[in-house]
Amino acid sequence: MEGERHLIERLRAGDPRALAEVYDLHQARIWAFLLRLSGRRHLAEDLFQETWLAVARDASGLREDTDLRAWLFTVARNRHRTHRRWALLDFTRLLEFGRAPEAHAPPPDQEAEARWEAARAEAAFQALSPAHKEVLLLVTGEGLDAARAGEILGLTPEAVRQRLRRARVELAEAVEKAEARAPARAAAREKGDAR
Amino acid sequence: MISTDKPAPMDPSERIASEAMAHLPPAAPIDPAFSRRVLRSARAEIEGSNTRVRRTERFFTRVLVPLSLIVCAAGWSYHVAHVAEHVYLSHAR
Repeated sequence: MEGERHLIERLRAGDPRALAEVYDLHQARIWAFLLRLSGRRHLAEDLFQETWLAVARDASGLREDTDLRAWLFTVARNRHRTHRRWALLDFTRLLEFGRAPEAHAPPPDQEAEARWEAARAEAAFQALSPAHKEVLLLVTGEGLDAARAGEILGLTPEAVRQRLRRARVELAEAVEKAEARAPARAAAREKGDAR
Repeated sequence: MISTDKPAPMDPSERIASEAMAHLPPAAPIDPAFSRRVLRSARAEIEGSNTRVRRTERFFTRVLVPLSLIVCAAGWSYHVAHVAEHVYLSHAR
């Protein structure tokens, strides 16, 4: 905690080495958060870069008692929200959002059961609304409590808990849908092999 | 005090969602070259933010502009109140 205070002081003073330390500490988490949230690598890269530029720009205005991790997630989330708002106005970006998220998993006929589970979980997760993705990533993925997640999302802890409940229900439904589709896909594959 | 309450049973949707989250593959790693580039530009940004020009710019946008807006709003409010008072008094006569 004391170390973080010192780091914040140096950031406020505009020390580039402090920024590099913060970057080393948190960049992997912020990257994973943005990649999962956006579902696309090149979009995540844009948002990641914008996030760190904003961090560098606004570091001088940090309060001494700022929770650095929560602040970084807030900045990243705000970049994503801004992008989504602009996407509503920009037709080409709208098309981009309409496309299915990139598949990270290899084709089904090459993968073992575990990889299929992972691909199904990824597809179900990417089918969620951004608000539900955010709350699941912060609470389940990052292990933040409802109060801390609420600070990032601009919600009360109770609202975070409710949103989390709805997100879990939506995710469970998406998983069940994927499971329901799976036998049909397997049958189609078998039919294709028989020909 | 030790609680003797049993933990609440897990909702089925909560269980499925927790399993799905646990099965999520790790996010693809960041390209190291890209990561270095981002850090370089962020460092350049923070170094640039400490120059006199940028400090003046910040002072202008964060202090002078809001302050002048408040002064303008206060001046206009005073003026409108003064006119209203004048109109009221002229009607009262």
